[in-house]
Amino acid sequence: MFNSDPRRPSAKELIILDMLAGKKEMYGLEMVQASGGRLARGTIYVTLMRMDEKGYVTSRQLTEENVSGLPKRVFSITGLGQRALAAARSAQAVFGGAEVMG
Amino acid sequence: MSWKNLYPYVRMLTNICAIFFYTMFATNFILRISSGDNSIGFWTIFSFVSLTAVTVYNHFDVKNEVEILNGTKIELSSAPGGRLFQIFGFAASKKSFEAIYVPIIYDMREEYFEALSENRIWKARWVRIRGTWSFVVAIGLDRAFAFVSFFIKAWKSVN
Repeated sequence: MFNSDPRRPSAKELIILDMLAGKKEMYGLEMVQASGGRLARGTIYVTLMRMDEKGYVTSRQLTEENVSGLPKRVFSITGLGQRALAAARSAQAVFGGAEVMG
Repeated sequence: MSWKNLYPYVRMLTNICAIFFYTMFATNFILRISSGDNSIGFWTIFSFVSLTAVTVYNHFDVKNEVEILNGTKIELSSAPGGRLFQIFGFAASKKSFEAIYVPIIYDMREEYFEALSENRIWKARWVRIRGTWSFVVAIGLDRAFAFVSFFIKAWKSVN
């Protein structure tokens, strides 16, 4: 369903915010595996980049050496993200899941 | 003797078959010319080109396989995703490259090496295919969002 308010988190963004709220930091593959099929490998990073632009999440690169030879990027929730998640949960409690989760 | 040692001979057999079919189609072509039919049919050209390509491929494949089996050659393969970077890297902005493309390849490599360490060759192959598909989807989405945001900005600046 079309999300009319660009500032309001979409259904996928809420799933990510929900997961990040429970943990300190997570990386993309970890979120995909934890979501149980609700998030896809191809779309997660595009969604995370948009969330970063909105200010819901922040990311940093880990400098530790790993087998892939590439830097690992981990994501964490921001204060704005926590407020957006709390607002979405409150709205969900009042109006019902279908309305809020988009 | 392991069944893998038979690989070069199986491939050599395909090579011989390719040469046989090539000769068959070439004979067909000569007979057509000699009977006064000067037109070269599509299938004659197609079979000529494809079978020649198969023959050349088989030759180098067998040569490579024999060299590896004899221990005169060590096969090295690159980590997955390197070629994707080379092909599509230029199309991305620095931000997209760091935030989308690199993490996808990172995830693919992590799963790939994990599967290889468990000796699960088919899983590793599947991870490679799935990772490439995810990469292409991510590029499509990223470029689509970039286009839409550019269009909106341009629209706002005009109005």
